Amino acid sequence: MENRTRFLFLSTAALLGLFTLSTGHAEEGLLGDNLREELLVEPEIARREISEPNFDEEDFEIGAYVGLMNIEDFGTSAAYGLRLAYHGTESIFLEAAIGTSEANETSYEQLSGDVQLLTDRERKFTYYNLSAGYNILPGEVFLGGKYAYNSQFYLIGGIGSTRFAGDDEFTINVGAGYRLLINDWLTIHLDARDHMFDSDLLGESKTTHNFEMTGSLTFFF
Amino acid sequence: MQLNRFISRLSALSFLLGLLLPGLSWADDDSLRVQVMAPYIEMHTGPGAVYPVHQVAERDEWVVILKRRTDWFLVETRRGRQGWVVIEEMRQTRMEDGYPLPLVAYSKDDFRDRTWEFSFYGGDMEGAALLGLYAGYAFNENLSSEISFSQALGDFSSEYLFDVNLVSQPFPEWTFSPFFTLGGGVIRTNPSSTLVETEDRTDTTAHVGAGLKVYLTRRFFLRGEFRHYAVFTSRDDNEDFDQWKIGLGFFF
Repeated sequence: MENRTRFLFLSTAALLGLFTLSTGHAEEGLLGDNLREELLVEPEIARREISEPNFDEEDFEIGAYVGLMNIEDFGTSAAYGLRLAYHGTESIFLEAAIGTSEANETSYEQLSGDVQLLTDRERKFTYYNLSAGYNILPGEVFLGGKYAYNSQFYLIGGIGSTRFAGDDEFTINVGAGYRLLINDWLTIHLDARDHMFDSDLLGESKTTHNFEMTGSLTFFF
Repeated sequence: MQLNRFISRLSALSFLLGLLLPGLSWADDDSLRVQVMAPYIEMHTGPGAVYPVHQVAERDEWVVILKRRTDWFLVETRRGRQGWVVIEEMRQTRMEDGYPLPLVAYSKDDFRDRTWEFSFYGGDMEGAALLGLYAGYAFNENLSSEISFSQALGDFSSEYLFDVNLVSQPFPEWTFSPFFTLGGGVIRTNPSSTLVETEDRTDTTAHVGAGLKVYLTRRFFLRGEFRHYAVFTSRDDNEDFDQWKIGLGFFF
């Protein structure tokens, strides 16, 4: 009788325990810790650090340019500068550039002999600008039947500052360029740019247009 | 991109400057090899969707990743053919350990997690045209520190400003996320050469400001800001002025 009572009690307890286990309340079950550990399967998944593998990202482009600049009223002379661009997408890039040129004499200065409107230091034309560009016509050029090079025609414009004749002037630049990719990191540019700023240097205030044509060698890094 | 990586890139660049030879291959031995899992991936002649597909790499083929430019990857097949593959197709490859290649396309979440940001801006400072650029470092998604150089070009003078400031961005998860800023710096004034009084002067400044940052796409964001400056001059009374600016930036 005693055995029977014990059996009933224990089997009820066991059933209760199984019931609580099956309904997900194993923590408070009447089964011992040992049995619970046997029922649970420890997942053996090693944690893995997900990080992007290290490879060469080449979104920056740096280079130097030389060309000609026409400074309004002051003739045309050599220009040169440096440019640094960041390519955010396949179409859009941002560019920072610094450049310099030097003004010649105006025709008035040449005709009148020894009249000098500007000192040598004031004839220095230096500028910096920050521009945004858009690759509008990507394409390919073919050299003979064997070689093909990628190319991009782009529109570009931005703001900057020009120091000329002793003053700093707010300058807007607009232009277009052609980028020829010699290989996947070296490029050649042809660039035409109009640097516009207001000047009252020759009496009346006017917007001067200073056209610049340059060729440059740049590379991606 | 971390700063030390940027610096190592700059040093690599200076090395390249002395070594400007076209046609060199940069595929070094530790390049990453991946196996194609999709039926095939398309290889374009250039890093852009407009460039034609000139070949494909088939399932199970191994390719070496040479470099990344924006969302395009230059890969080389076993036969030595090279082409550019877009990021969506590169995700359908796996590395030598069998795991898919984890690749990051930049999204709004990355903008929240950014460490560095760079921007240039234009605007107005008491009627003078303002332009400049800044670099920012984020301590966390709410707090960052910035350093900026600006130039204001007026009719009678041009001013150079150098500022260091702290930026608090209380709601980084918002699309139009407001921020508040507090900082100080110096201002250098160069009067126009046509004026009689042509003495340059430098004064210290302090400023407060507020603005909005808006994530655009990829790594680009837009930022508009208003600042109020106080100038501590050595003359009888202090000056103050307002500054408005809007800028386009990118982040890492």
